Amino acid sequence: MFKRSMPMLDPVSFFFNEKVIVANKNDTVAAALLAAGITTFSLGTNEKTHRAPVCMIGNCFECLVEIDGQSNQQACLIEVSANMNVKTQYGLVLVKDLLESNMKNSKND
Amino acid sequence: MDYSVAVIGGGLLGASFGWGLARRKIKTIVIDQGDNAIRSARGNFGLVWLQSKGVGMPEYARWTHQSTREWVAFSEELEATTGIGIHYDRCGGYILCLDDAMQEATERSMSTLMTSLGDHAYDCKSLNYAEVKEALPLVGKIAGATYSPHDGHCNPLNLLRALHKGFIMMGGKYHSNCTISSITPLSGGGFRVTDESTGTTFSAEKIIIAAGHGSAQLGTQVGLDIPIFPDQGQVLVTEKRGPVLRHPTNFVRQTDNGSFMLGPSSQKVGFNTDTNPEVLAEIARNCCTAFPFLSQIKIQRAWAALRIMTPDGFPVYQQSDEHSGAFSFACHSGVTLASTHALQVPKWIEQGAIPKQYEAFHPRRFHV
Amino acid sequence: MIDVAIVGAGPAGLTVLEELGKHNVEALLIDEQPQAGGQIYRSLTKNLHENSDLCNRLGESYTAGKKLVSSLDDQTEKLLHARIWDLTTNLQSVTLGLTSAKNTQLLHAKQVVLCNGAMERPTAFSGWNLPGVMSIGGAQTLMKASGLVPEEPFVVVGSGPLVYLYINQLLDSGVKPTAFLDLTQSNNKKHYLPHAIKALVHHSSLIQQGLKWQKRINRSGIPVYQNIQQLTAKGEKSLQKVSWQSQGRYHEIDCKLLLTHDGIIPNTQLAKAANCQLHWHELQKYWHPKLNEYGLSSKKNVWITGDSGYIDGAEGAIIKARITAMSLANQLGRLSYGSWQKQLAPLTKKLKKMRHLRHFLEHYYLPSDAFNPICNNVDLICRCEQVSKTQIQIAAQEQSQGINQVRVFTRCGMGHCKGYQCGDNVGKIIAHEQQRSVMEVGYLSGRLPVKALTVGELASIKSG
Repeated sequence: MFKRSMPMLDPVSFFFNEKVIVANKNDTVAAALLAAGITTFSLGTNEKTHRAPVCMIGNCFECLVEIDGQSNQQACLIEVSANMNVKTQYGLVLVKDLLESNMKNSKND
Repeated sequence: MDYSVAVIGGGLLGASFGWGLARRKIKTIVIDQGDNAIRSARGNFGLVWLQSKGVGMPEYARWTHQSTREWVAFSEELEATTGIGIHYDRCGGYILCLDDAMQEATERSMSTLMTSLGDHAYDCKSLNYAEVKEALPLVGKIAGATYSPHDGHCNPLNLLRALHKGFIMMGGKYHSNCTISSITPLSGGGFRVTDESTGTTFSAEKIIIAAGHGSAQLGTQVGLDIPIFPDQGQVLVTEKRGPVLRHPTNFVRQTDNGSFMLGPSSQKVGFNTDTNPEVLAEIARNCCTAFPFLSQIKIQRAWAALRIMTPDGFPVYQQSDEHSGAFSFACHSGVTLASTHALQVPKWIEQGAIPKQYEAFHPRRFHV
Repeated sequence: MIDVAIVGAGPAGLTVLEELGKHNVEALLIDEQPQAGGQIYRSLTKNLHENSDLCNRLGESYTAGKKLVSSLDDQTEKLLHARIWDLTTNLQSVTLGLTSAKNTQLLHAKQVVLCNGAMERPTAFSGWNLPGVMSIGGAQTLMKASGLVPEEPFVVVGSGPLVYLYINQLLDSGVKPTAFLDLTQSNNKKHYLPHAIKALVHHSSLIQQGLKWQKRINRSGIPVYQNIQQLTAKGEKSLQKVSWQSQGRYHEIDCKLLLTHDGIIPNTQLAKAANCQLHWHELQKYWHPKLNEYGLSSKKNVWITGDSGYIDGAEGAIIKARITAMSLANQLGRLSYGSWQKQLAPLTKKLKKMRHLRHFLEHYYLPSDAFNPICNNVDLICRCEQVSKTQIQIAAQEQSQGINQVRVFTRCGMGHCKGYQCGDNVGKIIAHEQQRSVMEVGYLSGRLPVKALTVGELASIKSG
């Protein structure tokens, strides 16, 4: 959908669904994912509705992803950071999974 | 007469009465205000709850118990006829006690209640922390809880929708955006009701005032004293999550669509429906103590609604001495009592009198 | 308690801050972004330092913000990267519910000035919810903040100055839309012509700028279509094709990106949270707060200026911001009545002149029928809760409900976006079904939190 019109001055790499993506410092997660060709950010609570960003400024909530174990994160309002763990948000994340992935993430600190 | 019964108020009480009356093939109209009225029905938590009700008035505990018993068949009939899911789950409920003081007070209260109920005492037990933890693994470090298998929860907005839809399906007439300016008793019996907003009038043999906070003013026109005042409750609703908490509790319940509802609060602020972040913060603190996992969950929305509160918290049901066809009903448990309001009260209206056993709910109890 | 909290560090907020400073009024500037500039000057400070090529491509309308964004220094009292999730008021003060990197708190101030700007009017049409359908403002933000440009083939559809500006910025980046569907209405000459004369007289340079943008598009070889009907986005999991009717012919293009724009509207979220009265702009179809000539809302300690009060564009926003700041300084006793009125006079005159252009633009660029759920064949209205137009029509017809009852009964507006994408359309549909005006039908009542807030953050507020 989108491509970079200038070179990345300050590359930052993070994970999307366990794959490495390189972005530029200060890119929002939404910008980084769009530049990497991602078209589905979440599959909605019915696990069927594909959603991707629309407004880019925090109003539409179509850019929700899971970041470092937290669901319902607005990708257009959060800047990428090194080794950030981003995932497609898929349905309703169970609280139990949230607790487990938090434990996993904190072990990596 | 245009109608046999006019129900003034289309909230949980009015809609329940209307549905039950139409079900008995009684020609009924339900009159409702518009969008920006107080509409306490919108603020509901969704509990269908027996525990702790009626301390000081065992008749209320018995009435509530009957309601919870009738709720299963009631919700099944509503669902089958309207196609709207009520999501009633009578799985048992917990009153979580965050500290020892609350645990002691709750147990004492329960014991007083069961004593006063005698043979009508129902299943309810107290639990220590370890027992609560086993039943609700996600609970935090609290003192304990009390549990009753009679408690449950439902989707209160769907309940209201279904009552409205069912009422209309059974031939009931529904008028909204009305402002009733006068209820005039007619010399031959019956009443003339005037809607100020359109200037239209109609007549009914009997009227039921179930207009929430608007009831008191209407009651004076037919000799009914309705002592109610607003009690503000605020509620937080979170984002949706996969189901992890089936049982409702006094602080938190997970709805059928996955969101968590957090409460309760009680403030005397008149007719103010603004949320207060300090009150909400306290709700948040209590709920995080009860269920620590909540701290990372996002809040979706918060609102305030005005409970219809009576001086002792128990219902006010009465019939006018001067005009026997005029009735009024007011309470703050419109969801729990929806079943008996829908199935029993219409019988009383049809027979023309509130049965003697419900004398306890008459507001003359306040004039001792 | 601080004197004034300023919400939003765009052109209006920065101007309010500067003007208040002249009158020794202590103010705290708050913005959600890590840098000042709002959306119009998004990432400007960074780009001026690091990406001069991008600045050139974005053009003068972007770099013109240089002075404004540089006006902030380390001495300025500011809270950046902070989100405001609630605003309540009483007779003496306002309270902002606020979360920053440091903590979550309730911040009290004597007065608040809301400068949270505008947002794009949501564009509902058949297939609008497919990934790959995005707003032009959103695409422009991607360009400003990250230097991203669309990959060809892509289609642009909409009307308004932003569309022409953005396409020009793309042309300067060596990128061309495969088709431009111009939704500017061509049959309302008698409405806009009277305003066009006045606008031309007072703002010939701005009008010429607009015409220059249009001319360049016409010369660029981009196929331009008008009189668009039956706009449809098609695809399975994401956009694959766009189709439309134009001058009686059917067109279809394979593409993965469709950029839409239908004008901008005030962001009234905080105004609603504070229970400020709103009015419906019948011509431009947006809700805006009821304000006096100085920007004071129906709440005596809430001022609203810039585009969040009424759409007047960046230059108009700056004039209004100055008027509001002066009036606030007068209110706080820091600026005498005489000085205030004297300084106001030239600004009021300037704003009046600015409004000639605004009136023209309001009549020329009307909200498009292509995105109006009453006229088009869109089915999905509430994206968050998946509520269809039919469901809303039924709720509106069956029980003559107002908009908030319709929300209760259908769940439209109860999802994440709290009605940003659907609220106005729900109002239009109900008004149409019930033969009432949108003003009568009303708007979805505001609910906190206005921005993201976790239960834990709320719980962490220190009481007392």
